[in-house]
Amino acid sequence: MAVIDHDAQLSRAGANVRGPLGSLVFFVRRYPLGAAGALIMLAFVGVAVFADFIATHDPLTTNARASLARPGGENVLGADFMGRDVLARIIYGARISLIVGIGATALGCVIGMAIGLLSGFFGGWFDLLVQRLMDIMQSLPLLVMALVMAASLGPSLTNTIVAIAIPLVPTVARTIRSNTLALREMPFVEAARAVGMSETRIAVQHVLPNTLAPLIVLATAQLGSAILVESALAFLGLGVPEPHPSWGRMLSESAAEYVRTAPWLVIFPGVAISAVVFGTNLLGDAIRDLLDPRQRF
Amino acid sequence: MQHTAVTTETMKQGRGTGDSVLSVEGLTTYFYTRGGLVKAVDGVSFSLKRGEMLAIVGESGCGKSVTALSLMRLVADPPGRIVSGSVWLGGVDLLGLGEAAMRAVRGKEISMIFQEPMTSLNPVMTIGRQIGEALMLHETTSRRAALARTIEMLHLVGIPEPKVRVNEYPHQLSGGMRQRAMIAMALACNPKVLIADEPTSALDVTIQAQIIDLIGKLRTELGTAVIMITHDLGVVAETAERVIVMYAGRKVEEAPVADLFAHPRHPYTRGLMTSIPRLALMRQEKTRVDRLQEIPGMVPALSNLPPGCVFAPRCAFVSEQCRREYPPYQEKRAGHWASCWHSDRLGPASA
Amino acid sequence: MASYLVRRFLLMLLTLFGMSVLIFVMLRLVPGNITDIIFDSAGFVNPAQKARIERELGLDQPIVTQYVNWIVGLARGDLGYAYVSEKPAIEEILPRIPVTAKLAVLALVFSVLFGVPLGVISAVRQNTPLDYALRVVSLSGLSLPSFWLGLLILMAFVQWFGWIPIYRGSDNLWQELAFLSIPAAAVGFRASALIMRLTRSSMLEVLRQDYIRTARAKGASDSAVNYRHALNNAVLPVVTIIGIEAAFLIGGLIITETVFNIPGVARFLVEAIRWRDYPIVQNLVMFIAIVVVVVNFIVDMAYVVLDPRIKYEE
Repeated sequence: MAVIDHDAQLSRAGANVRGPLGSLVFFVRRYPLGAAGALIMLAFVGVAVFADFIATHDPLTTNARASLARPGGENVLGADFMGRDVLARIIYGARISLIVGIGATALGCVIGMAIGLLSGFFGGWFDLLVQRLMDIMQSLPLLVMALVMAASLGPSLTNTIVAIAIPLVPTVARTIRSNTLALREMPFVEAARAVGMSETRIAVQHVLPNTLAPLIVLATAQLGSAILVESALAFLGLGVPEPHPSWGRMLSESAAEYVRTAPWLVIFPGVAISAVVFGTNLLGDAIRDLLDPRQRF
Repeated sequence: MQHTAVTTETMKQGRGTGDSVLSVEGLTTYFYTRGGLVKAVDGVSFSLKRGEMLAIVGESGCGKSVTALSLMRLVADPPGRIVSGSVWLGGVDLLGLGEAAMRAVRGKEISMIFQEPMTSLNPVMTIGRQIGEALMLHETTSRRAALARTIEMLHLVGIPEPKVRVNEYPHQLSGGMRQRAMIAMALACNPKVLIADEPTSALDVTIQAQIIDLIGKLRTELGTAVIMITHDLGVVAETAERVIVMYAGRKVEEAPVADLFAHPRHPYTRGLMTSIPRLALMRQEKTRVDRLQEIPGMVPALSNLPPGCVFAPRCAFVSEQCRREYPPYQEKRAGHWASCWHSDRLGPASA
Repeated sequence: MASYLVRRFLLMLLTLFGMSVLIFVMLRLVPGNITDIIFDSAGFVNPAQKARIERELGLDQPIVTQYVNWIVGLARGDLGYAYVSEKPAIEEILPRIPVTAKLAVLALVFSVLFGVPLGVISAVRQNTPLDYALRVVSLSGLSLPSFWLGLLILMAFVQWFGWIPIYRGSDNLWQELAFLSIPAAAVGFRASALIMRLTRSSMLEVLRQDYIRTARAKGASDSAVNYRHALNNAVLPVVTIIGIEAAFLIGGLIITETVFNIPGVARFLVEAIRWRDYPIVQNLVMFIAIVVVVVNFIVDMAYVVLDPRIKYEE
């Protein structure tokens, strides 16, 4: 039998982890992809928050002389047909994507969680009704629902957030509901009842914290979807209106016409969107693996 | 960390040839986890004679299932790893075989049945195909021959209307019948050794008795040696010829069954017996047992074992020596071995 | 089993009914209707004219009546008139369906052919470099905005072949399909990424089960365990996944038809939304809903056939 280095094996399993720094290092080594995702997300948030300090140009200023400038020199990533600097628009576009993305995801998750929790915990006719409604809402593709809502609500930043948040609700509600149903039957809930705790207190103090883990996993996935839908809406002309710079709209303005003549208008905004969504997906996957109890040994 | 007493003792027991069909020496399996090193099986040795029924007894977490999985080399790696030892079957060390060679051994020379028959059978395959697969893997290549033999096996394990059952799915059978089907699958190729890992724990009491009887009957008919893993002393009393008691990954006692019950030589074994009212009665205690005597404390975390005797923290007879030195595994009576400094204080039959 | 079928069918009808209500309500969330928009662009409001147009379009009637009229019309095949073109809506919608249908089928085939095998391989070789590579590829597939992928493909064609693949209808079916395979790949790429991930997790879930351990205890080889035991079980949820795909695909079709300028029914939806052509939008969305629900129903039926546990449940 080959000689086994016990310490090496133990380190690989994470037994020698010491302190928060050690935990961080362990997380990075065990989930390299997730760490990369977290890095991307941090960069994204950083850029969005500190846009004013990072951008060299104003994203809205037009400059006829710089129209369709190639990347390099004055305009690092080039300029569009109105002479607006692409890099600046991408930086400020991050802000919009962040606001809409996080706003819509947060709104959708909060509403969905409330519905799921109530539905799963109290059951009865409320549950039945709500279940039917969620089923119906889920039958329509996300983009279609968001399109219809955006169209009927009208173009504005808040409306876009709402238009994306509402279609996200059914998925969240459903997941939280099934989680709640499972938790409701667990012994510790029975014990709380036996001690005389009111149903509401049990719901809030015992069941709710246990639904947070799957919620976090779901939220990161939904964030990616939200950002993609926002850019799709903008691309189709039904997203955030002018003057907010949006990556999706940057692409629609430059569509087929400039594909041949100004490829930088097509490449960079798309890279931005893909990178951010990629980051959320990587992070979401890693968090899911981390929180899955069966994965731990 | 080898116990030299153990190794010398094993030398006397042969190596899987002659009278003993299976010979395990110093089997050690570790698990590498975030919580540290778990010594699930620590230097376990024993041997099994042809057609013998050996019971391995212990509470959850004592390492009996991991021992069984280690024999079959089915331990999940990572996080587990068989670190050292040898398992001799028919003159070959199973732990030294390549994976392909080991696959030829599994199901043919040594088989295993598991605790939960419902989840242990593939839900989308008929039981005929599942049993047939065992045959097609090792014995025959003809579908027809496999089918015929499958029906024979189903009949042998007492499943009524085997020709019909062959085409049924697991969920169509009752729990007891599923377990019978598993037994049929395990014995289809007539292995030398059958490992039964808590085969009755998930079944109703009446069915339990039937399955135990069935295993006993098949043992005699087919001459298969059986390792019965259980936490139920009742099952042990009814069926085993020899018993091994495990605690915290190690063997603490080993004896022929009657001797074990009459004269336990390890405080843990005695504790197990007196915590079951039925057995206390069985032993015809002179003094009445007024309350169940529980063993205080809990099984220690296998990643954090105390030095000296592992049972010391819970033992009624503990002394300083127990805490300092691990007691050697010695023959206390004829054919009866235990690892305890104070076996003699246990006396013949005391409450 | 028949009772199960009937129950599911009735449930499907109920869902469709609920969806029609939802769609109807969604489009009327904000006060104001098409007449407002017409007059907005004109710059002034003439109340008499407005009232007349409203009467013509049936907008002066109570909401519930409008809804009932619509539903009754649907059942009869009368979808009302398009606001913009003033032709019967059904004449606008029907001719655009075949192209979209071909595109959808191509995309679905592409996604299953790629997604399922790669998902299985990824699961079987879990945590190997191949697995990581495949996971990264599938994640990037899900992260790329489909319109961007479409644009990139256009760009690639322009760079390397010098021409933009603009859709031209063709009498030759094979020629048409050959052309459509490009946008189908764009749509299908995202869909295949989803299928690959879901297949992978389904396989991994199955490989954790007890009966896999039993198969190994019998001495079955890795390939027998993976392909005979695990796959047969993992395939069941994958069939359900294909149902989810239908919904997913439609979003991609909308985008791709817009990018590649394909005159299909999905692009028409966007146009109709932009023009606030409510009869069209309403009916198209309803049509999409019907397609999704029917596909899910078919998938349910397939599941019943494939899973022996359900067959014998009644």
